[in-house]
Amino acid sequence: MISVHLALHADFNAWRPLARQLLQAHIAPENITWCSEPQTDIFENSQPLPNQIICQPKISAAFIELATRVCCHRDPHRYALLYRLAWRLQQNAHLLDLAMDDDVLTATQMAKQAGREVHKMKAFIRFRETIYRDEHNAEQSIFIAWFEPQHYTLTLGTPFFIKRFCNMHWAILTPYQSVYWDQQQLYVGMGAQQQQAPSDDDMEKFWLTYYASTFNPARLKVKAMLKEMPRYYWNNLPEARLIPELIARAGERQQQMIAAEPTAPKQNTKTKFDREKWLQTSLQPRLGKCLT
Amino acid sequence: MELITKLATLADAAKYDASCASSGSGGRDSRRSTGMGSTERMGICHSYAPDGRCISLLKILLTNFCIYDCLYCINRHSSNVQRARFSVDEVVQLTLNFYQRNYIEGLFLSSGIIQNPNYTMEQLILVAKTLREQHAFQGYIHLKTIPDVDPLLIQQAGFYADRLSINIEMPTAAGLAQLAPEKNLPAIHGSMAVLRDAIDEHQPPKTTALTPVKRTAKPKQRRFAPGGQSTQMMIGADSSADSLILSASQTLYQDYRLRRVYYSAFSPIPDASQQLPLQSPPLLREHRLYQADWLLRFYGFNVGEIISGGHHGMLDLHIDPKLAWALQHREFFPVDINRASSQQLLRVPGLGVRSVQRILQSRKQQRLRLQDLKKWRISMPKVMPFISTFDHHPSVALLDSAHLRQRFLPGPTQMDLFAG
Repeated sequence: MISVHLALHADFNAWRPLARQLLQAHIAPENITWCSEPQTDIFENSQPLPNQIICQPKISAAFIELATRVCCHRDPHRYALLYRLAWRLQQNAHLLDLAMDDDVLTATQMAKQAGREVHKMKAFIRFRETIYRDEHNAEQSIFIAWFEPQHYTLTLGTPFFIKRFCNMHWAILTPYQSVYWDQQQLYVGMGAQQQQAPSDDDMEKFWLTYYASTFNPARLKVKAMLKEMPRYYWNNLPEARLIPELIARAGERQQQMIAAEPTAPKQNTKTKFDREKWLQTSLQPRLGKCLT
Repeated sequence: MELITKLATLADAAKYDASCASSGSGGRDSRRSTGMGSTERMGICHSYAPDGRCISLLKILLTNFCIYDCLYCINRHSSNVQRARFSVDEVVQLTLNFYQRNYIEGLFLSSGIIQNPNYTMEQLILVAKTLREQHAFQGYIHLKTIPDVDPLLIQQAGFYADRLSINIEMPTAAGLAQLAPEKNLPAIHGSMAVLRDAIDEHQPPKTTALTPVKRTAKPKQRRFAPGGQSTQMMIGADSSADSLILSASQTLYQDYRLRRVYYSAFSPIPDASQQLPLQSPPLLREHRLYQADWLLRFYGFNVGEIISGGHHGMLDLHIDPKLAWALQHREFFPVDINRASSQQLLRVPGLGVRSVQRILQSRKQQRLRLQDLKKWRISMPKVMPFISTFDHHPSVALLDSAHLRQRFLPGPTQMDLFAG
């Protein structure tokens, strides 16, 4: 039995060279234990991996794409599952097309869950602005977000924020890892605590006003909302604290609109727009004055 | 008026537009720009309101003052709602501030008609132009286009916006004339055609092996409305049947090449007109129309086929339109999962586009059993009467049975939900 030790939440790039070495030595999946639990004596217990080259393993681009996401899943069996798939891929290069195979199915589902978490991170990160003084004592603003992903997906989602906010200073803190972008470079650091992120932002009252106003009380569909925005994420969404009251008052607001007596228009309705007349006077093509 | 009060008023006034999509416009980002923002092909929903709707964009009106008097509209000239008007800079700053904090994908800007259609359109374009040119904003912009405006303005709007939309409001010219006296169906179609032609004209040239495109150092030209055009139809404000609504949609997709038609169940508004049905919005009908719309666009159905599953031009409210069609066309079934074509598989109730792809891909390697379909979380009670696999043949008696529809009806407790 060979024990392979990986760092806690090791990603695909950390797993890949180890897996390649084991495949080259033709070590069957059942003879390997993959460990990524935190422990102090990692190096004492581990024996060196066999380094003879018996075969040249091949893996497909589709496998790399799948494995990159599966490695971010929190399931402790993910590394063993991926090795089993890589092993079986050597016999059947089209294994991943077998959508009913149990290993393929499990890996596909895990990749889907990790992918969904990345998507939710892009959607539900809420930055708060903070001012700090740089080395020249000039005021700079930095945008900081606290987020608690359900999988180890922070670095998988980070390229999106670099593309979007390349010209801003920002940081995303999670319990297991943090990233910081200084407009030039990305720094990956340790996990953090919620208190390290700012607790408010001046724009939030505008955002909450918008959230409450864009809701239509005549169309209450709480289940549809919960399906896409489960309570798990509410803790870090400032607008979520409005939800209970918006739901509670929706029925009453709708009834008021239905029951209200029609009112007579206060504005002078005689000055209505005459479309035909306007069309005749505006036949000349023109570019708006303010636009040229 | 304080900015926050304007925001509350003008977001409330804009919420009857169903669309909040930020899709169809990938490939832009802030790395080669001085500003912020990027677009994703699939769009992102940053939040959900308790009405189940996605909040992707800052959806507001520039102003809710309006010279038109469309009866269904909260902002109609004769309504007594509170009025407000944003300045161009207020909208620009709100958009940037919201965007920086990752609340939104961009801006969806519409407006009441002030002075005349051209003036209003100029104001909308000015906001988009300021965002793009002064702030190098790379995020998503959706502009409402006003029918009757000068084609030159539509041309200009498309260079700043990712998507443009003109609401058709009603499926028929008569319905529109009755409820929106200043609007006119040929004018709406005319503006859609201008937009369609402009989109076609600015399509990036397709590269072929015979005509390689030379790569130059010139910065990429901004694309013209890469997210295409969309529209919205109101459901239940007039008496149009579903068949008329879906026929109107088919025309819009085929003749004007719209990216999306949105259906919006007419919902009660504050200070409503007496001439309209004040009742809970027909949400279930709206849902069935969206399902039918999907069948039109992705499943190879035509309007006649979809409508044949219902009665008197209306869709069956109790079951989805594909199932309703299948029950009326049982001679088409059972479909053999291991042999049928993609088009045939797409007609099976309970099989979606993704499931059909999986079936086609997997059966190349081995014959499929019922058990395999179960693993993909396909609903067995729904598909079983309509398919055969090498270990399953549905009973002919069941497929011919008059009670087959009964099996798919929701239970009595759920029926109450639909009563409202």
